[in-house]
Amino acid sequence: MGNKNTTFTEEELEDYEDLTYLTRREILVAWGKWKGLVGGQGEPDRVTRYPEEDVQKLPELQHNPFRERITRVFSSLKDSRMSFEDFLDLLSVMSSKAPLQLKAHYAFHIFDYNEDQVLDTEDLEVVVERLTGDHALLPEEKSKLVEKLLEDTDLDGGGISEEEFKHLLTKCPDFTHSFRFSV
Amino acid sequence: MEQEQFPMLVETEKCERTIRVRLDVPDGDNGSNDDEESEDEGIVITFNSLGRGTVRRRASQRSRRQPPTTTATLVHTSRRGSDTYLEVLPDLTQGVDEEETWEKLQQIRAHAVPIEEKRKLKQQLQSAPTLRTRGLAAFKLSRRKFFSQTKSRLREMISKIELWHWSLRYVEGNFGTGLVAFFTFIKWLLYLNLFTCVLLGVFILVPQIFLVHSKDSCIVDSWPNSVYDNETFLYENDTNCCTKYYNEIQSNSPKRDNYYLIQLVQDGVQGTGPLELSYLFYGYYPRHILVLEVAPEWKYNLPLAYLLVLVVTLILSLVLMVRAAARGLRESLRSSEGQFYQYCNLIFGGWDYCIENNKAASIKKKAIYNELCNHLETERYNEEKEQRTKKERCRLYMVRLLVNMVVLALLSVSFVAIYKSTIFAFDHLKDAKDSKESEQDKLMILLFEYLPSGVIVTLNIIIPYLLRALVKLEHYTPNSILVLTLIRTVFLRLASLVILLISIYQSIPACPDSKPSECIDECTRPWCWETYVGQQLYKLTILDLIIMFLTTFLVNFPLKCIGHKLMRGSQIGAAIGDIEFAIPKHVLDIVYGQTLCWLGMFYSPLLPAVTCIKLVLVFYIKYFDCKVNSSQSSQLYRTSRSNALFISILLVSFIVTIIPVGYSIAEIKPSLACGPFRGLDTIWSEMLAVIEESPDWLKAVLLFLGTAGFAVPAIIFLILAGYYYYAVAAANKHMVSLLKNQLVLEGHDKQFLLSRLNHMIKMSAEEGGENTSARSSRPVEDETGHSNDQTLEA
Repeated sequence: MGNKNTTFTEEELEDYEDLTYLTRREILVAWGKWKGLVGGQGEPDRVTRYPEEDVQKLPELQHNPFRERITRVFSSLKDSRMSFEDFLDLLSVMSSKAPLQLKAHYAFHIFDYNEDQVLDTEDLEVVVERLTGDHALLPEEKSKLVEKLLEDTDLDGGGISEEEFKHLLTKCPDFTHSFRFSV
Repeated sequence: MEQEQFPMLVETEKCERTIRVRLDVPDGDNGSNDDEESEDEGIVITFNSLGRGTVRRRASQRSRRQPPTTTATLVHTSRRGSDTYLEVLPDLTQGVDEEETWEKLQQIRAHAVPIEEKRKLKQQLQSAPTLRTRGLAAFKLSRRKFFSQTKSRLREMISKIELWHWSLRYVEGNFGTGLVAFFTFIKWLLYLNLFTCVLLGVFILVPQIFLVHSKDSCIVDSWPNSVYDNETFLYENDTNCCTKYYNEIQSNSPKRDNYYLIQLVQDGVQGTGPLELSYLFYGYYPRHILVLEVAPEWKYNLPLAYLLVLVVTLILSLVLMVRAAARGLRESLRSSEGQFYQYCNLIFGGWDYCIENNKAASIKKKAIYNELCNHLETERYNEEKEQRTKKERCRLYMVRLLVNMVVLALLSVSFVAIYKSTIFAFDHLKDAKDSKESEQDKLMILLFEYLPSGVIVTLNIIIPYLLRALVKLEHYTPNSILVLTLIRTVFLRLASLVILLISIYQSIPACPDSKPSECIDECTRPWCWETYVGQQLYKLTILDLIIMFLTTFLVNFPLKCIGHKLMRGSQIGAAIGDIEFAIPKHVLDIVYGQTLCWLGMFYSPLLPAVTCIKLVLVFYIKYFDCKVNSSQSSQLYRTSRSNALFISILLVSFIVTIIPVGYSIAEIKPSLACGPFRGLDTIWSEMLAVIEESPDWLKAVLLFLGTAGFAVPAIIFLILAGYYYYAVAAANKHMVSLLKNQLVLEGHDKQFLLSRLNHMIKMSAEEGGENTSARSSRPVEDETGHSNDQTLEA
C-alpha cells in the first residue's frame, strides 16, 4: 500500500507526517477512504471542498450523535464543507497519539453547541439529550443532572470555560480511551 | 501569572469595538506555566468583550509582523468564525539554535489549528534564521533525530504486524471499548506466557535437548566413572536403580491395541502413557551436570538451572503484573474521586467514537441512559440512606449479616463437596485399577478420574446464580453489587483449586515407617509424585479448554439459534436466545486458566507453551461467542475500571499460587525415582548446597538474609515507608483542596478585570463618539507606544 501511490509526492507525505499524528500508511488509507466518500464524480483532488454530508457518511461518524458538530468544528473555513486536509486534521486529532490537551480543545468546541465559548446549561442539556438518544431522561432529571454537573465543575460561575474543561478532562480517564478512532 | 500581564487598550474605532492586545511578559522564557508538558509553550488567552471570553476582530485582519521588543510575540492568529483565537509562541528573531527549532517543529502538530496554518508555521520556523550547532551539541541533536525517526518507523512496522488487529477493530466498532479491554487482556496474557515460555525453553529445554550427560548406572558396587563425570552428584546407587525400575514400568505398561486411537487421545489429554516420560513433565529431567559433547569443559548444572529459572520467571511475571496494575489503579482512582467526576466521565467520555454500527450505537445510547439512571438512583439511594430510621437500619444490617452467613455456608459446602469427591474418587480409583479386567470397571475408572473436575465445573455454574440472587437482598449500590459478586465468585474458583491441591497433597503422604532406600513405600504413592501433580494440572488445563469450547459451540450457539430463529418474536425465544457477554465471568475463566499455568509451571516446564496455544484458541472461541452468540450487553463497561479490575484479580490469584508452590519447594521430599532433585531432602536444599560452596562473604550475606535479624528490621522499614507515602498523599489531597479554593478566587479576579475592561470600552466608545475626525478610521497593526494607550490595572 505504501509503495505504489501516485497521488502524493514524497515531500507532501513527509509534510503531512510532520504536521499530523498520522503515519504514512494511515495517510494513504485516509486518502483511499476520502476518495470513497466524496469521489462520486471523477477523481477527487486535495483542495476541493466537499459538502459535510458526504464526510458524515464515514462509518465511524455515521452513527455518532455529534457528527454535525464534528464536521463543523474541523471545517477550516466554517462553510459547512470540508477538504481533504480538514479530514486529515480530524483523523490526526482522533488518533491515539494525539495529546490530551489537543483532544480536549476540540472536544470543547464540539460540545459547545451555541458557540459562545462556554459550556453552559443549554449546551449540556443538548449533549445529554444526544447521548441518550431515544431513551430520554425526564426533563426534571435532566435539569438536575446538568445542574449537578455545573455545580461541581464550574469553579467561577458562568459556565465551563475551556481551561476548566481541560482541567476537568484530566480527571476523566475514560476520555482518552473513548475519544478516538483509527482508519 | 495573571498579575504580570496588562491587557492594553490600544485603539478603538468609531463604529466597531476593537480591542487589540499587546502582552508584555516580563519573564524571559516562554512564559508557559499552565502545563508541564512541552507540547504547547505559548500562552492561550481568549477574551470576550461581553465579559465572557473572546476578542472580536474584523475578519480580514491577520497579524504577522513580530514586534521585536517583546519576548512573547503574537505570531499568528486564526479565525474561528468571527472570533479570534490567539496563540502566542516564543520569539523567533533572537536567533534560536537548531535544537530548539527541531523541537518546535516536532510540537507543531500539537497546535489546535487547521493544517494550512500549521504548514505556514512550519515554513516560518524553517526559514527563520537559526544558529548552527557545532560539535558535541550537533552530534547529540543528530542522534536524537535519528532515534525519534527510528522509533516512529518501528512503531509503524509493529502496528502492521500486530496480532489480531482486525478482530479487535471489529469488536471496537460493534461493541465499544469496554469489551476491547477484555480481548486486550487476553493478548497481554499471551505475551506474558510467551515470555515465560522463551525463558524456560532457553534455560531448561534447549540444554536438555542438545547437551548430554552420563548414564545412570545401577551397578551396586561401583561409582559412575565415565569420562564426563568428574563432578557428578553423590547419591546412593539405589536411587539409580529406582529410576531404572520406574522407567521400565513406564515403558512396559500394557497397551490395549483394540482402542489404539482412543487410548492415544486419552493419553494426550491426561498426559499419561508416552507423554509421561517426555519433556513435558518434571520426571524426565535428569539429575546431572550437562556437558557439550564436543567440549566436555562446558558444564551446565541442570538442577540448579531448573530451580533458579522457575524462581526468576515468577519474580519477573510479578514485576510485569504490578506495573500494569499500578497503571490501571492510577486511572481508576482518578475517576473514583467523587460522584461528580463520575458524571463527567460518563457524559464527556462515555461515547465511544469508534462505533460503526447502528445497532451498536443505539445499544450504547441505552447503556449510557442506564448508567445515568443508575447514578441518579445512587444519589437517591444515598439521600434515602441518610433518612433511614434506626429500625430500618437494624433490619437491613440483620439481613446483610444473614446473607453473608448464607454465602459463607454455600461456599463451605462446595469446598467440602469438592474435597470429599476428590478423596472418594482417589480411593476408588486405586481399587478399580487393581481389577481392571472387566468393561464395567474400565468405565468406572473413567468416571472416577473425571469426578473431581466434574464436581468443580458443576459448582462453578450453579453457585454464581445463587450468589447473584442473594446479593439482591442486600440493597447495595450497583457498583458495590458488581464488586461483591466478583469477589465471592473469585473465592469460589480459587478455593476449589486450593482444595484440589490439598487433596492431591493428601495422596502423597509421608508414610510413617518408610525406609530411606525404598523407592516407593507401602503407602503405594505414585512413583513420581511431581509428574503426577503436573499431569493433574495439565489435565485440568486441557479440560478447561474443552469445556469452554463445548459451552460456546454446543450450548450457547444452539440456544441462540433456537431463541432467535425458531421462536422468533416470542418472549420465550428472546429469553432463551438473548445471551449477554458477561465480562466478569469470562475474565474469571481466563484468570483460572492462568492460575493453573502458574501452579503447574514447576512440575511441567512446557505448560506455559501449552497455555499459549490454549490462549490463542480461547481468543477465537470467545470472539465467536461475542460476535455470534451474544446480544449486546446493556451494561456499560468502562475501560479504565476494567483494566484495573482484571489485573487485580490476576495479581490475587498469583499470590495464592505462590504459597503452594513455595511450600512444595521448601518442605516436601522429592521422589526418589525421577526428576532433577531426587535423593535430596527438599528441593530447596539444592540451593542451600550451592550457597555452601560459594565464597565465604557471599555465603555470609545470603545466610544473613534468611535470619530474623534481617527480616524484622526490613518489615519495620517497609511499614515506615508505607506510612510516609500515606502521609504525603494525605498532604497532597489537602493541597489540592487549597488550590481549588485559590482557583475560585482567581476566577473572581478575572471576572472583575473583565468587567473593568467592559467599562473602559464603554467609556472610550463614548469619548470616541465626541472626537470624530481626529481619529484615523483604519487601525494599524500592532502599533507600539501609541499615544492612545490606556492601561488597565488590577
